[in-house]
Amino acid sequence: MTREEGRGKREECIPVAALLLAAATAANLYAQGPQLSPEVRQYVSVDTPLVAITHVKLIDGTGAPAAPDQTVVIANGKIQVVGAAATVKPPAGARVMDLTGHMLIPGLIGMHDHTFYLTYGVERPIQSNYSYPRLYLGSGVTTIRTTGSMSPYAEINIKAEIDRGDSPGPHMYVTGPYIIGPKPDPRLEPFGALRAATPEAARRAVAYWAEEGATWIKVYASISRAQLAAVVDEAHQHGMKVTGHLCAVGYREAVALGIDHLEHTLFANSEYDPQKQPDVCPPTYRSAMTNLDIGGEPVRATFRDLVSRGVGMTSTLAVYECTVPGRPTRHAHVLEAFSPEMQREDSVRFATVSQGKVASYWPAVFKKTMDYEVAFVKAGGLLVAGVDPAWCITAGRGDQREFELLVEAGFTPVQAVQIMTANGAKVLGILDRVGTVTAGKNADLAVIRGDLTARAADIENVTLVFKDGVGFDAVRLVEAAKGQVGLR
Amino acid sequence: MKTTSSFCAVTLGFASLLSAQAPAPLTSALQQFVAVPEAVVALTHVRVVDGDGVAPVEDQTVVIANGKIQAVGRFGSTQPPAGARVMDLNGHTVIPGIVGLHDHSFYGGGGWPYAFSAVAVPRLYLASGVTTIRTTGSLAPYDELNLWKAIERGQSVGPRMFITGPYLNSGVPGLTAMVRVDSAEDARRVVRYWAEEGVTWIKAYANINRAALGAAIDEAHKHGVKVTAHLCSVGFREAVALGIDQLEHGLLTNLEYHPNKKPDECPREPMDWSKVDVNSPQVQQTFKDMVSHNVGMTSTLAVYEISYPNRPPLEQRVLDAMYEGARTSYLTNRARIPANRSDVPLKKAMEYDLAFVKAGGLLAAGVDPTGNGGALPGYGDQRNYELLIEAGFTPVQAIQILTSNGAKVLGKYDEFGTVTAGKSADLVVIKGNPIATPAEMRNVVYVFKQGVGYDSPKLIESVKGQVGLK
Repeated sequence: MTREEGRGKREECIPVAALLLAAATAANLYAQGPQLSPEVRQYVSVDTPLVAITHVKLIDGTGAPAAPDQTVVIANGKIQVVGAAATVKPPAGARVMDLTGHMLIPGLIGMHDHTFYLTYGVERPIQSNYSYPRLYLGSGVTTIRTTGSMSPYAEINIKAEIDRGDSPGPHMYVTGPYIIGPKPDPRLEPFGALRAATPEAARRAVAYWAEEGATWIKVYASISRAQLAAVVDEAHQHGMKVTGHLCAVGYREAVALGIDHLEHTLFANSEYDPQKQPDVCPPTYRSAMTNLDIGGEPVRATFRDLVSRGVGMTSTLAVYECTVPGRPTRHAHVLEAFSPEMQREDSVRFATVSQGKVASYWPAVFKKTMDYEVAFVKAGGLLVAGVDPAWCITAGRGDQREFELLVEAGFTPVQAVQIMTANGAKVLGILDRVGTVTAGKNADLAVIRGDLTARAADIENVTLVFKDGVGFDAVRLVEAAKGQVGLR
Repeated sequence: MKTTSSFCAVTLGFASLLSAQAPAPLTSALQQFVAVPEAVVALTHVRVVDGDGVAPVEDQTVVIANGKIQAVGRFGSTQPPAGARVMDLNGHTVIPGIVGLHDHSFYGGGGWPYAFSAVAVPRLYLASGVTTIRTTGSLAPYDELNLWKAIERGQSVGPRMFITGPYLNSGVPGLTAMVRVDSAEDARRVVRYWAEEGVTWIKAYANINRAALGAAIDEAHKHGVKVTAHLCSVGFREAVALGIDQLEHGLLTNLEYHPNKKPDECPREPMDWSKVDVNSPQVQQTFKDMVSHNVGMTSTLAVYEISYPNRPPLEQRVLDAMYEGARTSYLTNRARIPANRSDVPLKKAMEYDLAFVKAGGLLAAGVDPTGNGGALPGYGDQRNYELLIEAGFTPVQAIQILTSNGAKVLGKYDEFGTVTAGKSADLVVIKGNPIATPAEMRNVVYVFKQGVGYDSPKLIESVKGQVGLK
């Protein structure tokens, strides 16, 4: 072939190529997402751009009561219409899915949803890049905030893979490394923590991870007020937010320093311990909680500060339950996700906890924390939830367990759904796009067989998960992760 | 970007603190691992292999004082100083502390998840006679920095550490924890940050492109940081031309001999290593470039060999060191290696290492505790000694490769790496004679690091069943 011939052919091709490109772009917009790889497609069960889900019972995430017999129309990745099945007709050409006997809720927003697992006792950390994204999505979790990263580069890479359509998984809000300091914290240091010797060292790390793409920073127990103040100030300069699992700094101090969010609610608030000294994590803070008056002035003062500054808290009951004697913490659907080695380790944990070989305050502190969370919401507080996959509970399955525990704590199922969806979206600043089943929002939805208003445990029966309007087979996703937690 | 000058001052301040002469005393809980705490010690009647390539010398006295080697000489002519603890070590051999140049702080492989190890891995290195490691690619750089500082503070037990930043890779990363740097700008940003955090080396990985590698090298050198790489998409000669300081693994990562090698691409078709002739002009040109640019190479035969059937022979101490799950994983994967797999690549890699040294190249060694999990930290460094001898090096040469050559690559030859008066007392006391019987390299009794004598069996006992756990 001569140069001239070649050039002629290319010129002919240009308009065709341009058309193809335009068509591809349109298709991408249509699906509100990237071209999905074969790896992702094997989990997709609904990929038509126009879908009508009919005859479902709806909890929309706004706090509105459950509505029976609803129709939800999804078009081009968005929720187009929501209304009573009797009045809303599926549009022509829509794939109609009669989901009588099912519930529809917004996709869960997991606000403490790490990409690693931490074993009980020795606390062996296991980065779980393969199993977790599948388990999260397959459990109905369509958005996660990683809330402390052992391997921030891994999270950035996983997020990019998911966003490119190369791997299945939820939308991700990547958190930078744990920041501690100035004191060494041997218990935490093996999990990738940056120990900031000075406030400047903390600032440098925050600035770097902002450039790499983290949107949140997580500080951990030993962080001092000076380091925390530097982290908050630097993060805000970069448009990032800061959350913390605290101890050396109390919640009211942290709120005064401008923190955006707080993890673990009562479990990590040391300010009620009479032994508390500034910048020191008192070893007695959890035993001191056993006598805490939830209605008392110290607690009300905390809530007032949080509510007036718009600072929310993340409930993580499912992980702490692992260490409470007498609690039902061995679930078949969690165990099946564990590798054989992890199952063995978990049986050791269960024996240890069952025999009461743990701190005696756990049952009382667990109950106090439930009461604290209910009281916080009553006081106008913004409560969200996450799994903190560790000790005995995995990605996704732990988010579902969290729902059951919120109901046990005293929230209505409707409230618990709101906590796990719209409230998370509010904290992430994306409530205008996701978090409720509302026309115009992204179609991030979870379909559940059963009725959450009758039986909280039905949350475990997620069958279909929509992310940006693409329907994933929840059972296939969970199946793929079987036996993989602990390995990859 | 923020200006970095004030941050650098902080980092340098800590670094200079660490280079202070005497190591910080160990916490009381860790003192149980010290068998020889005295400041002045004389090791008498030992065989010394000095690490400089000199033939072994019998019946020597080595005097250690205040962390340094004070004197080395014939028993009788070199006298223990007054007040010294005299240790009669007749039947023992003293070599310099091993300098492991591909000694990760993580362990994993063969299906067992890779994870940073704060306890078992550093202890096993030290117990095996490895007194210095370069981590050569980090999955958890903050953890390494914390461990390094904890060791220097005396709050953890382990070798001297030369910290490498995260792996730099281009395109879609091979291991998820690597940082993706597709452009010169990306590479500079990442290198600059980790240099400020205190790493002294950067490691590039198989798919890096020349633009990113060149920028990483340039930025690293501005910060006094060096660069090494496990390559594929870039050939050794290209990397040398870009100014790289060191190259990892040897032959099997040099794809410039691949018939279909294209710039910036790691060839998809497997390489037929039997076609490589180490005496060919092409290979000799690689060596010439490396030697003239003073670029050394790290031999990692211990991790190479575990891909071949029945290599190494199963060793009880290796299985004992592993955590139960990791052991099962290793044995399962080892059993899956096809019995008829050709060992030509391993043999060729051995020839390449030997030919490189014959051409004047600076060869060092390291374990790379990955693969199917069978090359353990420390134990694999010792195994390298036997494999280098199998490759054709003399035992004395092999010890030089394991010790002083590594110190040279790190730019620390004046401080450690040989049994020489004035250097840091980084020494390994071995029961028996590994020159005559290479497998006796495993019989480490004491390991001196900066003059502190650690009890090797006790360190090993303390992490029994824990490699792969913590």
